[in-house]
Order: sequence, then C-alpha cells, then structure tokens
Amino acid sequence: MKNFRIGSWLNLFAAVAGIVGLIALIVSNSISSAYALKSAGLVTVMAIGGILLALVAIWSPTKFGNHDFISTAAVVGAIALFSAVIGAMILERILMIAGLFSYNSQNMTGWSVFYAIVVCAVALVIANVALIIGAFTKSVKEKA
Amino acid sequence: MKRTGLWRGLTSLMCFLLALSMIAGQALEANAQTIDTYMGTQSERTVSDGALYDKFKPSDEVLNADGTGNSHALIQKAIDLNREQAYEGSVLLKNENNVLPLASGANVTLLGIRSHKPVLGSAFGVKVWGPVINLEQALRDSKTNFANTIADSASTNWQTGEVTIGLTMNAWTGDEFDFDGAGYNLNQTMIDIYEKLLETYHHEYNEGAEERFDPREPSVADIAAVNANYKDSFKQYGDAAIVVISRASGESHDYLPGGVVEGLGMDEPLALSQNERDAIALAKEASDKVIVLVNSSASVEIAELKNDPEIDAILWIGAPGAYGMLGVADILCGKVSPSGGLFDIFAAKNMSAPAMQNMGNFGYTNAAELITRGGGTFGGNTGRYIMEAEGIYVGYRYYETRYYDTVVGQGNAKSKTGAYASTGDWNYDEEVAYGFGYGLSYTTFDFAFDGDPVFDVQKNKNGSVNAYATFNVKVTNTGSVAGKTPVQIYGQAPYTLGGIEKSAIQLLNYEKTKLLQPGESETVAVKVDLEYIASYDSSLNNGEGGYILDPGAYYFAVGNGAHDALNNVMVKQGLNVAGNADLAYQKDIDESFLSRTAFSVSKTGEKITNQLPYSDWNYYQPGEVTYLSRADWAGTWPKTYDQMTLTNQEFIDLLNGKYYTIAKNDDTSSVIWEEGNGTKFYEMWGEDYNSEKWEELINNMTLEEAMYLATYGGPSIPGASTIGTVETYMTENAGNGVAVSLNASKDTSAPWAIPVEDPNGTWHPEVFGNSPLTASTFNPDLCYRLGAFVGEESLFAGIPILWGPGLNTHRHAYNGRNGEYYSEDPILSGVTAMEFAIGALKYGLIAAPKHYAFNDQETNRSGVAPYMTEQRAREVELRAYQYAFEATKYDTDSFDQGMRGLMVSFSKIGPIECTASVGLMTNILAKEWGFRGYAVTDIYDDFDIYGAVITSGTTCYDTRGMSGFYTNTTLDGGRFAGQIDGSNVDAHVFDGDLKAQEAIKASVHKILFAMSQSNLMNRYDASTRVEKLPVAWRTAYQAAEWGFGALGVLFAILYVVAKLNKKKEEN
Repeated sequence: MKNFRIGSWLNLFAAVAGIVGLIALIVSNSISSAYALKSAGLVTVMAIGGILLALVAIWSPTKFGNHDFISTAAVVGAIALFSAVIGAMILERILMIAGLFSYNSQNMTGWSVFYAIVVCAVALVIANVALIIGAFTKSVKEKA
Repeated sequence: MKRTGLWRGLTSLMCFLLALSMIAGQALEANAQTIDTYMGTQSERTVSDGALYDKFKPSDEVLNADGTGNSHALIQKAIDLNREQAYEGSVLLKNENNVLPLASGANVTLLGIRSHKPVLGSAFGVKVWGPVINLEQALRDSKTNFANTIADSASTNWQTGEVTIGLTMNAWTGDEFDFDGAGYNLNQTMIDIYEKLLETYHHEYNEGAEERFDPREPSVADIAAVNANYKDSFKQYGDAAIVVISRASGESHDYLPGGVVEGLGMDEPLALSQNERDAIALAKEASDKVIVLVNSSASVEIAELKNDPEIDAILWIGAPGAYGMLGVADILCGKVSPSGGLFDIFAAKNMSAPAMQNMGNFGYTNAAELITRGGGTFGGNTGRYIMEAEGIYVGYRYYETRYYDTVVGQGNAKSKTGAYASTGDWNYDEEVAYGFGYGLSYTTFDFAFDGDPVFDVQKNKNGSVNAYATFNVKVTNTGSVAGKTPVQIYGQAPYTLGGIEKSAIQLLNYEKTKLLQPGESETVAVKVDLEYIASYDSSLNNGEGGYILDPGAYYFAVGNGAHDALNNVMVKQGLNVAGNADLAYQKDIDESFLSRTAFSVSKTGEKITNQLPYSDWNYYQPGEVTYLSRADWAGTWPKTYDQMTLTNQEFIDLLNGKYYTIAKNDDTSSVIWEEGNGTKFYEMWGEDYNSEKWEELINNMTLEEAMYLATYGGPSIPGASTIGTVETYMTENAGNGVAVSLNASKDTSAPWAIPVEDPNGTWHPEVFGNSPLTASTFNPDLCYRLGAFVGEESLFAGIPILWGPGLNTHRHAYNGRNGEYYSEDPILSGVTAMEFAIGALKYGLIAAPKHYAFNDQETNRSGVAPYMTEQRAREVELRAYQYAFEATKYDTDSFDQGMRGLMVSFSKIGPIECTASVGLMTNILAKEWGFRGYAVTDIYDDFDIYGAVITSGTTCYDTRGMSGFYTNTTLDGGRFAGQIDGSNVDAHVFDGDLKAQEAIKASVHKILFAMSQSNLMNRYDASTRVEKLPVAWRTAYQAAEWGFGALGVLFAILYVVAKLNKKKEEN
C-alpha cells in the first residue's frame, strides 16, 4: 500500500462506498416484502461485482502498472454495475417514490424503504465519482 | 502517460453519463403519458388511414363552422355551467327581513380573510385549475382578469412540514371573458388589508382538511396592525357586510375529533374560531345588514349564527369552482332566486352524530403479533379498522328518527345519552341547526298533491317486480319573484319496536320545477321506486337474507327537506307537531298489493341473499359489538371501539389476505385462446353485451394479452395485436372535469383537437365546484348537463374513461374528502351520479364513480377495515351505487341502460379487501345490479393478492405510470412482486388455473364492452396504430445516450491507441 497513489486510494474508497451501498440495498429489500426488488438476487450480485471490480482496479496496477488494460476495464465495469444497481433501485420503486411525495405520504414503511434507497444511491454515486476521478490519476508509483 | 489517463478517465466518465441517460430514458418512457399530461407534451399519437371520428363529436356550440374546436366557446360554456351549478346549488339558510337580495350598486364591506381567498376546490383530488373568477371580481367587475387570478394550491414537504404555495399554471395568456357581476362597490381598504395579511396567514383557492386544524383567520389586532384606521371605511361601505367562513376538503387527510390548534377558541375543527366570531362582530359594526357565506363542503357548526338575531342572512355556497362565484353573486344581487337544498344535515355539534364515536385511527390490540400482510405497493394499513356501530343511522336518518321517537315516546329517545347541544334531554331543535334537504328562496311556493299517486306494480318474467309510485305535485309560485324549487318525496316504512331497524324518514326521489314566474304553477311528476323503501333483513329465511317490505301503513310526503316531510307525515298520523297532513299520503301495503319479499329478487332476476356477512365484526367474534338501535337509543348508543382484539383464526387469515390460492394443474382446455377467427375490436361498435361476437373476439386473444388487459387498467391501457387494439392513454381524473389541458390532448388526430398554438390551449378543464354543491341543486337535469359537458371535455382531452365522480356517502362531516362525494343520502348521491354518468355517455365518456365502497374516511384509507351490518352496507353506502348503476330511469323496452365504469375502494369490507370481495364485485355488482363495465382498483392497490383480485370481478388495476407494455413493463417485472404467499407473478401464473382464466375472459369482455361504447371508437378502424413522436424529453435523452455512447467509444479507442503507442515507445 505504500506504493499507492491517489488512484488506488480513490478506488479503495469506491469499494468501501460500494459496500455501504450494498448494505443499504439489502436493508431496502428486507424492510417489507411488498417493496423487495423482484430482481434482488441479480442486483445484489451486480453490486458485489462492482465492489470486486473496484478491488481489481486497485490490484491490477500493482502488477501491470498505471492505466493498464485490466484496471481500466475493471473501472468501467464497476461503474456500469454500480449504475445498473442505481437504476434498478429507482426504476422498480419509482411508483412507490412518486406516491410518497403525493397521495401516499403516510406510508411509513415506504419512507423507510425510500431512505434506504437514498443511502444506497448516494453511496454508489459517490463510488462512481471516485472511480472516475481515480481513472484520471495514477494508481501506483512509477518504477524508476 | 497523461494521455492514457485522460482518455481512460473520460471513458469512465462517459460510461457513467451513458448509464445515467439510460436510467433517465427508462424512467421517462415508463411515465411518458403522465409526463405528457403534466407538461402539455405529446409523445405519441393514434393514427389511422381511414376517415374516422363519426361516432361522437362535441356539440356545435363549441365547434367552428368547419368542425374544428372553438376553445373560447368551450371555456364560455364551462363558465356558464359552473355559474349555473353555483346558483342552483347554493342554499339560502336564513334571510331575516328579506335582507337578501342586495341590490346592485350597494356599497359593501367584505370581511374574513376568506372573502379575499375563498376555497374554490380541493388541495388534492378535485382541485380547481387555472384562471378563476374570485368573489371580489364576481361582486364588483364585469370582465375577467384571468392573468391575475390563477388558482393556487399548497404543497407540504412531508418530512419538514414546510408549506410552499404554487400556482396551478404558470400564467394565463389566453382570452379574457366578459360577464355581468353583482355590480357592488367594495370596500377596498379591507381588501388591501387582507391582501397584506395573506403574507402571514397563507391561504389558497385549493385547500384540504387538516388533522390539527387552524382556520388561519386573522385577529382584529392583526387587521389593525395593517391599518389602524380600517373602521373609518365602514361608513362608506355600510350597506351590507358579507363575512366568509371557509372549511376545505381534500384527499388524504381528515378532520379529527378535537383536532384543532390550541388557543383558537374552538374545540372542534368545524366549529367557529374566536377570530371568525370576531370577524362577524366587525361585520355588525360595519353594517346593520350582516350576511354570512358558508364556503365549505362540510357541515360547519353554525347554530350560533342561526340563533343570532344580528345575523340577517346565511348562504351556504360549498366550494364553488373556478367561476362559481358568479352564481353566488347572482343570488346575492337577486338575478336568481336560490333553489338549493342541503346535501347533509347541519348539526349544532357534529360530535353528536353516532358515527363520530368511532372515527379516526384505530388498530387491533394484537395486530403487531398477528397481522403479517404488508399491503402491497401502496403500503396498506392492514392492522387498522373502524367500527361503524351507528348502524343505519347515518346523517339525517339518525336525527330525524330520534326526533320521531321523542315525539312518539319510544326507545329512550329523550335520554341525555348522545345529547351534545341540548340543555336538557335530547332535543332535536337544539341538536340540529338546519335539516337535510332544507333551503329557502326569495319567493314562496305552495305545494299540493295533484290527485292520488299512481302505483304501478308489475311482475317480470325473470321473477323481479317493478313497483313504482308516481306523485304528481302541483307547485305554485305564490311570491313576487320568479324561482325554482326542488320537489322532494320522502317515505316512512312501518316500524315495530325491536324489529328490523328503519329510518323514520328517507328520501325516495326528487325533481325540480322549471323557473316559475309569480303566480305560475307546474305539476311535477316524481317517480318513486318502492324498492328503496324496503329494508334489508339479514335474518330473513333462516339467515339467508333479503329485502322485506313489512305489511302495514306506509307514508309518503313532500317537504322542504327531511324534517319538514317527517312533520307532515307525523301530522297525518295524528301526532302533535307543526306540519301539513295534506302533504302526506298513506298507503297500506299488504301481500295483495306487493309481496313482503317482492324485492328479494333484483331487477336482473337474481335472488338477493346475504353477500357480506363478514362485514359484521360479530360474524367472527359474536357479541362484541353493539349496533345502534332505535329500540333503545340510550342503551345502544355506540361506545368507542378502540381496543378490539383478534381471536378468531379464520378472521385473522382473511386480514392477512389469504383469500385465493392459484391452481397449478387445472384442465383449462375449455377456455379458448388464439382461435384466429379474424374478428377485430373496431367491428364491435354498437354490439350488445350479450352478442356472441364478443366471444369470437376474445377467443382470438392470447392468454398473455388478456392478462395484460385485465391487469393494467390505466391511465394507459395495453393494446392487443390479435384483436387490433393499440396501447392508449384512456383514463384520467376527476369528478370536476377531465384532468388534461386542451393542448395536452391524448387524441390530437381529432378534427376538433385544440392546436398547441391556440391561445387558450393551456386551459385545464377541472373547473367545476365540489360534489356537495352539485347534489344540493336537487336538479337531475343540471347534473345530466354537467356530465354531458365533461363528456364534451373528454372529446377535447382525448380521454374515454373518467376516474370520477366520487360516490361514497358522507358517514360524518369529518371525512376530509366529503367535498368529492355528494351527500349523506344514497338516493341524492345515486341520482346525481347517475345523471352525471349518463350525461357523460352522450359524448362517449365512461364515468367511473369511486370508491366502491366504504371509503368512509381518509385516515388509514389504504386497507382500513370498516365493520358494519349488511343492512347498513346495502341501505346506505351501496344504495347510492345501486341507484346509479341500475340507471333504471334510462332503460327502454329494448335497451338496459347502465353505467359502464367504476373504481374500487382502497378499503376493505370487514376483513376482506373490496377489490377481492366476490360478494361485492360479482354477486352484488354484476349479478344483482347487472353492471357490465370497467371496474378498476384504486392506484396500485392490492398488488400483493393478484389472484384474489383477478378472480373477484374486479376487471383491472389502476397502474398509473406503468406504460410501455411488452417493453419495459411486463407481467414478469417487479410490479407485482411480493405476493403474500411469497410467490411472484409472471405471464404463466394462471396457465393451470381454470377459474382465473375464466375470470380474465369475463374481465376482458367487460373492459372491451365499455371501451366499445366510449368515444375511443372514434379512433378505430382496421388501420389504427400508434406513432411515437419526437418530444423534447425523448430527443434529449436519446441524444444523450447516443452522444455519451459515441464519446465513450471514441475515448476508449483513443485510450487503447495511446496505451499501445506507449508500449511501443517503451519497447
């Protein structure tokens, strides 16, 4: 880790944010069966995949150097997977969310799910931003 | 190195932006039609190669000579009709010394902040949209200034409670309209003061009920703080002082017992606050003529105003809609004589209604342990209930029946129990301010029966009996000005102490006179269906149940409201009260005239039996609830059932939604799908419901297509290629007009469609007054014309099915949504809704009244379980729907008219969801009443009991926002995930369920039949198809997807090239 430069730290931060998002995702699915994602298994796998790819993006430069193909593919893949999770979270619950802000504001269970969705989405957006910034930067010290 | 980092970073960024664009695109497409409605865009259009639009067209008065739409004429017609609604529906309650009418040219002071910002519509539900004519304009002006009076509404941040006020449209740049107002000179000083005070006491034209209510009326000190010399203006404007008292109505919230902000000098939300009383006191200082306008859809407690000799006049005006203040002005200045009758009884204290003992938020004591059902997408209140222990004694039925029993001296009626306003024993005159149906006029009328009523009893081949009594009432205008009056016929069935519960008086039917000039007479025929004086007896035939007509003396009376009619009956009976025996008629009914069980066979020939036994709590846990009985008013006065505990397992299972198990292995070969006989939907125009051609048509469909149609009930309704239908935006709200702006029409191919560039294109047709105002007109013809006009609106808006009007009965005054429902009386509600719906059908609009049934409060409305006797269910709530759906008035020898639409309630009936109640949806609605049409759930309701809903008789779900069928919305998606048994829904869920497949066929038949009778048929021939159109939001997200995608690929290539070059350099 002493060879880490900012890119790796950002990727590590993204992986941690991804874990936060994953936990929020699981929480949002467990509050009420009525609001569980039908594709919960797939979405969870995608979130885990995003986290693993972020870790790959940390490991790969230590072996192949900065901006290597594997870490680049891992970053892009992680961004895609995290984004897919965000999309699934929102699109499957969009009716519930619309209801909370209009005719169904007293749906306390729905609000609990909504808060979990917000935590998940914010965490994954932060993860993606970290991955993007990290992609511009170096991940490890250049060999002399 | 820098370049590889740059290209790789940009590639990552583009990947993220591409993903966001795709998410946005999916969200937008899934809600495309809703976005179109609110943004005035058009994302798709139904087109055809043929010449269509020959089935329904707007009236010539709203069309130009070339058949194109005339928006100015349409708006003018709406203004005129809303005005008529207001002047026919407003009810004059008091007019001492004929202070009204007040002549044009009078100098008038308006008091109360609501005079400056009255309630015109509801905060949510039946909101009034766009430019309005407010009270000041109607009283003073002769031309609208729409641009300065746009209806506003408050939005509450549900988390912080912060309230922001917004306009219902950004600005009005269309036409202005001339009108003739009352011609008063108004006290501008007070108008300016209230305008300033609105900065502190926010008010909007659209407001709703609040659980912790504050009328937000400024104090006298507040007024003085703005202008210390305000009283100086009174002298110049002292011809009269008009005070406005308002209470709002809206979806989602109720008034609650004791639910008021502390320190306002009021103990209940519908009582007057101290500041409101002070405003009235100021009016007394301003003038010796004090007029109070009651601007409310609920029964405000105004007994103190009735008894105040310094208050000269009280006029109830409801929530009059966008232009209804013109009608109010017409009454005030005497252009029109008032002719409305009260929609509800106005009690001195609303808490005196027995229903109020059980109103609010009640949960089973052991719900947390036993109730496992979550409630589906909407999130239901599965552990909540209300005990409707008042039995049949809702509204005036309670007060009038108890009054009768006090006079007769039976049933402990005089007991202090239940007395809230009486100084001693229970006393009608103290408990009631104004009775149901009551209303004054500027003229006087003489009523007399023109001969005996004509009875017409016929037994039909199907075993049912038609029994009508036609009362011919001669009405003579004995006053000095022209006027109209309702002719209300009430009835009383013979009651035996301790026998089946009966109201001492009930409305049976009504008509309204034409405009009678002084001295002019008219004989009005009022046809009464004797079916509605029968009583429901659950114990009939050893518990089988049915309607009975006890032999004995039946009384019928005409009267200015229920109390007046009852007094006429009582005088006829020799009781010592003030009344007129000549206005009552006695008919002895025995088996020789009409069988006791004649009405136990419905008009369709169906034997009527108990269908809702589970509605009664005692059915599962006997003896735990006592329903109010006139046998002992004191001993059965409802207690508050706030600690109910569930002990019966069957009961608990039902509350957990265990109604239906989907079969997996039935032989379904008897249900034909995919027959391929070539019959198409466009050929079904005019086909009778029982035509064999329907079976031919539906046999062509695939099971999956049929499931889509029987699931996705709007606003977009899916197409089915096998029968030639296309996905169409077909349904919208609401009872006060179609909720689609002219320039957001869903049918822009119509010759009369208003083009986007039309100056009046942003006009939004939700403009009419709230439902109680319509009911109070007691004018069937006007209600028909209101429905017909909304039907015309629908042709401009391109909406063939309307989610409205509201048709629940007012259980009590605190239901926050009473403004969307007509009345506490089922006949008044039923007649009004029927006329509206049949009027709408004239232009091919299917009106779908809501919420069938028992949506008796907004608190916990999603899934709350109301408990009641079946007698109560049938004689009060369901009777309104029955009257409307049967639409007997419009039947002919060759055609059985009926309504074609319905929205089912969020609530349960007993422990079972209304949406899943076979008794309610099939046995009563379809079999007894003959309903054939679209019966949709409320929004997203009961997704978690899919099999039960599909097989109950409910035809589809309200799935707002779920468009794009066969693309991103499928039965395999997550919308119906999370069934109560843990299963998921998919397109094959009913492959092995014979009952479900048959139910789906029946639902599709009903939906397609309703569609075939609607103005949707204007768009159908063999070539009908949908074209997607390039709207800004679609272009934007597609451009973003392509742009970010292309840039992402480009940057990726540059990254790879840079990386390879670098490697080459390194090597």
